[in-house]
Order: sequence, then structure tokens, then C-alpha cells
Amino acid sequence: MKLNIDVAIIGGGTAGVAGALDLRKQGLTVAVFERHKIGSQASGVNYGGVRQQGRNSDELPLSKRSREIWEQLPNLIGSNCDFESTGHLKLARSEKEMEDLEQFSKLAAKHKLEIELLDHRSLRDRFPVLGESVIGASYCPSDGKANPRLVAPAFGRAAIKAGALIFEKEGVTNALHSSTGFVIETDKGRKVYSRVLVNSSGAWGDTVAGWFDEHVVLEVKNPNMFVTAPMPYRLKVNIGVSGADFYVRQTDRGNLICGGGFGISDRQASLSRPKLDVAQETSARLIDIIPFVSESMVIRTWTGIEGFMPDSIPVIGMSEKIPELVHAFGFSGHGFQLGPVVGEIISELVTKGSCSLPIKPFNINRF
Amino acid sequence: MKAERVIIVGAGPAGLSAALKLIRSGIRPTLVDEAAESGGQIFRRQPKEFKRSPQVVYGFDAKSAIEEHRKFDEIAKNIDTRLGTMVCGIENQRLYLFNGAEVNFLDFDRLILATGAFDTVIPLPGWTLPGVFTLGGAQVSLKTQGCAVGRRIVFLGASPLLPYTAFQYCMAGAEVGGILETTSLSSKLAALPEMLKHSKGRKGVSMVAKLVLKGIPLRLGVKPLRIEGNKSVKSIVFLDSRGRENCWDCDAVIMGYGFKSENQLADLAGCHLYFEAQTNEWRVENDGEGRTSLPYVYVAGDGNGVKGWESARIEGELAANSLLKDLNLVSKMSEEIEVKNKLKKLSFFRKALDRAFPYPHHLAAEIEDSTIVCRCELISAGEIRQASKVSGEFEINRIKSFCRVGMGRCQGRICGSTTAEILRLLQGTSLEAVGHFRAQSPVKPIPTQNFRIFE
Amino acid sequence: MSLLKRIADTDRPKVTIFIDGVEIQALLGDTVLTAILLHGKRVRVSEFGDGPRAGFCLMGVCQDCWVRSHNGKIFQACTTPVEEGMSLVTTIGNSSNES
Repeated sequence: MKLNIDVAIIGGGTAGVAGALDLRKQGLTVAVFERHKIGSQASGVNYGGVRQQGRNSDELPLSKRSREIWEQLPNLIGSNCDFESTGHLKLARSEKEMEDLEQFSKLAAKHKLEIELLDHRSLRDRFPVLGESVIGASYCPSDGKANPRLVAPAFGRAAIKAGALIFEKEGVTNALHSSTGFVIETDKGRKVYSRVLVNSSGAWGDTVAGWFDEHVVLEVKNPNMFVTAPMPYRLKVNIGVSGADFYVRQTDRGNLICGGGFGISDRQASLSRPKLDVAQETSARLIDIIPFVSESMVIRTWTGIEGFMPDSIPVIGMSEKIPELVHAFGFSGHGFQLGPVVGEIISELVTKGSCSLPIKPFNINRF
Repeated sequence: MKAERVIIVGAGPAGLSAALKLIRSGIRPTLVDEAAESGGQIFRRQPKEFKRSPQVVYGFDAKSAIEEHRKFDEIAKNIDTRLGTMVCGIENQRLYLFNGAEVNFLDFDRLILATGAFDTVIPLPGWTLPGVFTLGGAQVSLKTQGCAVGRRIVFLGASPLLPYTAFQYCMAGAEVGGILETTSLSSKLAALPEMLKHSKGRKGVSMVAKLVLKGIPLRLGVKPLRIEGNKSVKSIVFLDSRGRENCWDCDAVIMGYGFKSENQLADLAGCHLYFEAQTNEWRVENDGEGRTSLPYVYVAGDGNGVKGWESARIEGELAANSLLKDLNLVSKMSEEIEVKNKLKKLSFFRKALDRAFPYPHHLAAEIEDSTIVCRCELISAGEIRQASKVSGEFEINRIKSFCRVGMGRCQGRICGSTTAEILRLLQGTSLEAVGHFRAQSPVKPIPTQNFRIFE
Repeated sequence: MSLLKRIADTDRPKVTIFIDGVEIQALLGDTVLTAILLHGKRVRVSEFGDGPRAGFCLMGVCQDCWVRSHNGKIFQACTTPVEEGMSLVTTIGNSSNES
């Protein structure tokens, strides 16, 4: 089986399929190779927080642009994927944490991101579900939540509709570059010839980069998630804590989606497993800050395989070694909100070789 | 010699059989069962406050029931038995157990899963009304609570336990409004000769004859249409074998279309599951002697393919025997060949039963769009079909992530088979390709207020 | 009217429980589900507007009989035996302050 294509994309997470969609709009032929199903790993298993607050300052310009695209999803991919701008509340449990939140609010102001700081009294007035131990918070009204299970598949369908080829259950085993372009081999025995290669392979990004002698250190982590049975809707806002060690939000059907700590995985086998004791620790912490969580019932845990970079920000940009190789991976557990803009960035890099957004801090050779 | 830590999950015929075998060979397993009493489903023991004789409770199975209870009593004297304890998770060789108040963990060297089965149901309009219960539930209510599930009960489905339970209810003095079977008369007649070859088959046929003689209406080849009622069951409407609409007044409908293995723990442990086409079941891959793809996990009984309690007893002993062999311990088992022959013979009867009470695939697959399939999340057949059409996908876990079917508290136990049938028909694929809901821990819910983990 | 009907083994010690505030005589050995359904026709209310529910499988599989007690405890009615003084609420989904 042979295939000739302008752009080959390795990895069918949101980055890859959003990239495919945008590239089709630019008139290029595109094929995405995904070893499982679109959105199987980080893109599909994450918490679902659509959040600008709390990001590394380098991510804020990208996040801002992504937030605009989130509003446009119905037009772009035919579904809003349950996106709702219900706000994000980042809680401080100590004076130090409150100071960190204050610092971020100053940074946010520079990027024109609206943040409201709340002291203990106003916090408990506005959000009575919170317990006594929270001393203050930072509230970002433009943040929100969406259903991660829907986003990548919706982008994938839109890409297919626009003429992209998507090969699921087909992993890329090797890729080489020569003066005539890329030669990619898949585990189905397909040989793909492309001019451009996009490495959006998530937690396997370092493996693919390694094929081209670009070496980065990537750590695999597995966000430990659990969900409760539906409860009366009491928590509109999406909640995190300073330090990001755990988080909770309530879907409009009433389930509490909670995360914190890590499970375990075997990246080679693409297997990951949540840990019940980690879920228990998270539930105990949650009960402390939101007492009504004790009325819930844990019905299921899950996790996935996510790639973390040493400085906790992704690798985005052209390869330093191979022309026409674009990297976009390692979103370090907070890539969900960025997915849509990364699609645009990938497309811009492929068609222009540069990007209008400031992506230099994400360069692959920064380490 | 270091004491081998063995845990047996399930105190039904398979689990008790395995436990006894191990104890007699010097091993001290821990026996766990989520029910308050031992016996599994068919031989579930009454709470100690109940005084009815086994003959009254178990009818002609009384002798076997007494045996099971004696086995448990002997076992309980010798080892740690934890009833009312639900195994909610398994991580490598650590089991997590919920006893209703808190979670404990228990490390093990070897594990025998004898987790039994639960009812297969097929939704129809009105099936979530108070007064609709499963066949297993009807048994539990009568045997362990001394209660009939209603005042005028209609039994619906396709299962040998349907006339069996109706008969028990009759004998106990409850009013049986009638029996509605989806199986056609011709299928019954075709299966009859094989049935009559086995004593259990003859007993079953005589039970049906007795019911008919008592004037209990029995209809074959029915198509159930809907259950009616405002806040609880008032009647059931169905098409008889001639296509005529009938309405039977009742205040309870007992539904049963066979049974499905509880194999979530095996799945969670990482054992390979495979699709057994002959019986349309997902089974734990095993070597015919209880060993699974994991060297420290064994399976026995209805938890690995529904075969009935007699097979379960034998498989329990067989699995324990394999475990002992794997530990290089001397084991004596009545000729393995003889045992395997017995299992084979029992399987012939099982096949005859399947032929006499076939699962009506089409009934499940053709459920109307507006009918609720997933009780936990209130997802309709239409929503399942829509999710499949829009995405073009049919793998059951993907469909679950798109439309929420199976995302509720029961983790798809109740809605799984129907969902699979709907997807199979819609996409013209196979049940095997559709797959099964992947098990996730906790396999049954844990109230957060009880979610504390101790050794 | 109730859903279940006692037909055997009625000679057991009495246990006083409360269902939606009403004092009820259950019998020792009854499960919470049995006690509730001998009294009425509802164990809980579906979260998604499907109306009253009364359990389904009676053996801990369907998860449709979780019931809340007055003091905020939740348990599976079909697998929990009645205890003296239990006070149960059937007018809600599986959480408090919902109608």
C-alpha cells in the first residue's frame, strides 16, 4: 500500500486532527495516522477544563487565541462539544498560595485576561459550597469546561468531511527524511511519501523526534481521574487549586469529575491504569474544600497516557534539524484548551514556515 | 514453606467447591462474597432470622442447597470468610474490598474468580416502572426475603428459570398472572427430544405441565410491546404468536432472557477475554482447567460462561486443582478425564436449554428509538443509534464515550447486551467487533463518605 | 398499596424504621428494599426525570436502589439489612435537597 500526500500527521489527538482540518482549508492533501482511535489518549481522557488561568506566561497569547476558537466550534466542527464558559476558580489554601494567585493576576492583566481576586468572605458568599479551609481564590470568568470525549472526534469528522484522510488503528513505525521528502512506514505495511511531516504524537513525541536525531526528555504521566454518580447541580464553576494538585467540576448532568495525582502506565503497550488509592486521596482533599462531595458516590476511575516536558510547557515549532518537520507535542497535562489553536499553528508552520503567534519559547532545542 | 495467600471471590457453588478443595489440601484461602449470605444466587441462603425449611425454599433442589450450606459452614470454621464484602478493584496482586463501611486492601499470590452471573434483560417501554424486576431478583425476593414481588405477577422472557420461578411462586402461594415467552412453539418442540434425555429437562417439562394444569396462562412466540402504569405496573401489552394485541392486568412483571457472566474483575485484572460465538458470550480465556492468561488468576463457574451450578461446582474444584498443581502441591482429584466428561455432558444439556430458550436477538436489536436502554443515564435506543450514525463508529466503548450509554452506576451490566445488539444491527457488523464495556474500578460504586482505605 | 407482598416467614422480631418520616414496622432480616417496598411503591426518584424507581435486580447489580437516610448516609437498599431506628428518604434521587 502506498500513499503520496502533501502532509503526513503522526498522532490523532486534537492537535493532529485540528491541524488536518486547517491544512485542508489551505488546500493541502493530508493524512493522519493514529495507532488507536482519534482522541484516545490525553485529548480524550483529560479533565475537560478550558482554562487560560494559571498558565505559564508564554502560553497565554496562544491560550487567548484558542479561547476565541472555542466560541467558534459549532461553525468550525459542527458541535460545541458541551463547551460552556462557566468560569474557573483557583483556590488558595494558604497565604503563600494566595500570593501566587495575586502574582498571576498581575501577569494576566498584562495579557488582558480578566481575573477577579476573592477574599475568604466574598469567596464564600459567591460560592457557598466551599468549605472553611479555603482562604481565598482567583476567578476567571471567561474560562470554562467542555467534554473531552467529543472534541477530537468532532475535529476528526470535520477534517474527513474537508477531505483529509484519517487512518485509525494504524501506528507509524518509522519515518525517514531525504532530499525528496519523508518516507513513513506504518504497522499495516503502508508506505507513505510526504513533503511535510507533523509530529503531534503526544506522549510519543520524543520517540518520533528521536527518529530525526532531535532528542528531548519527555516524562509520561497518567492523570488519575474519577467520576461520581449524578448529584443535584450545585457547582457551576470549574474548580482548581493553586499548585494544581487536584481539581473538580460538575457536569450539567450532575456528575462530579475529579482529578488529582497519577496512575501508572506502560507506554510501549499503550496501557494505562488509574489507582484507587490515589483516587481516595483526591476525594479526601476534595471533601475538605467542598463538603458536599461527601454525599456523592464514586462510580468509575480512568487515566490515559500524557507527555510532560521538563519545564511543563509543550514543544511547538519547526524542527531544528529537518526542514518541513513540525513538532507539536508534550502538552504536560494542560493541552485541552490549547488544542484548537495548535491546529492553526501547525497549519501556519506548514504553509508559511513561521507563525504569527509567539511560539519561540516552545522551541524543541530550548533544553 | 511460605503460606500462599489465596483469595476466592464468590461463595456460590464454584467458590465453595474451590475453597473446600484448597482447605483439604492445606491452603487457607480467604473467601469473599458481596452478598450477606453464601450460596450464590440459586442457593442463596436465607438470613438467619428466617426459619423456612430448605424443602420449602429450594423445592426439588433442596438437597443440593443443604450441601452448599454445609460446605460453607465447614469452610467458615477454617478460614477467613468475608460476606457482605464487594471486591471493587484489583491492581496487580492487590484486591480492594468494600465492606459497606470502608475499603480494605488484601494482597494475594493467587486469585480464583468465581463471580457468577446476572440477568440479561431486554428493555421495552415502561420497564423502568416500579414493579418490574428481574428473574434473579424474583428468586432473591422469594428465597431470602419470603416476599412475592407482587400480587399478580406476569413472567416475561426466554429462560429456563422463567417457568422454574413461576412454579416456585405458585407453590409458595403467590398469584402468577401468566407466563409470556418469546420463544416459538416450534423451537420448543425442536428442542424437546434433547431436553427429555436429561432428568433436569424432564423435571422442567413436568413443571410447565403442572403450571398449565393449574390454569396459569402460558403464551409462546410473544412479542412484548410495553408495560403500562402510571407510578407502578398496571398491565403488560404484547402481541401473541398470531400477531394479536393482548393486555394482561398485573402489578409486577418479572423479566429474564438468560444470564450474563460477571467478568469485570477478570477484565480489570488484565486477563484476556474472547468472544465465544457458540453462546454469544464474552469469556475469560482459559485452558479448560481454570487457568487464565495471567499465571496467578483462575476462573470457575458462571462467572466465565453461564453453564449452571452443577458445572460450577466441578469447575471450582478443577480450578483449585490447577492452582495446587501450579504450586507443586500434591492434589488428588477424581479422575480429571471423568470430570471433564461430566462437564461435557452437562454442556449438552446446556445447549439443549439454549435451544429451548433462545435469546431473541432481534427483539433487542430492533428496540424503538424512544425506548430507554440505559436506566442509569436514561439513554434511549435512538441516542445510541444517533451516536453511531454521526461518528460512523460501532465499538461499544467509543459509543459509550459519545452518548453516555453504560457510563452510569451499573457500568453497563444492564444495558450492555442490548446496546451491543443495537450497534450490531445498525452497522451490519458482529457482536465480537462491537466488543464489550471495558471494566473500570471501582467495579461497583463506593459512597465517597465510605471511601477510606485501610489494610 | 405496596409492591412486595409477604408470603412466608413472618414470625420474626420487629424492627422500627422510618420511611419519609412515617414509622414502619419491619422485621429483622428484611433488607431495606424489602421494608420500603412492603410499605410503598418507590425507593427513589430517577435523577433525570424518569419518575419513581423501585430497584430492579434485587441483587446488587443494577444500582437502581441506592437510598439515602435522613442523616445523609447512602446505601444500596437491596443488600443492606434494616436496623432499628433507620430513617430513610424515598423522595429524592441519590442526593439531598432535590424534589
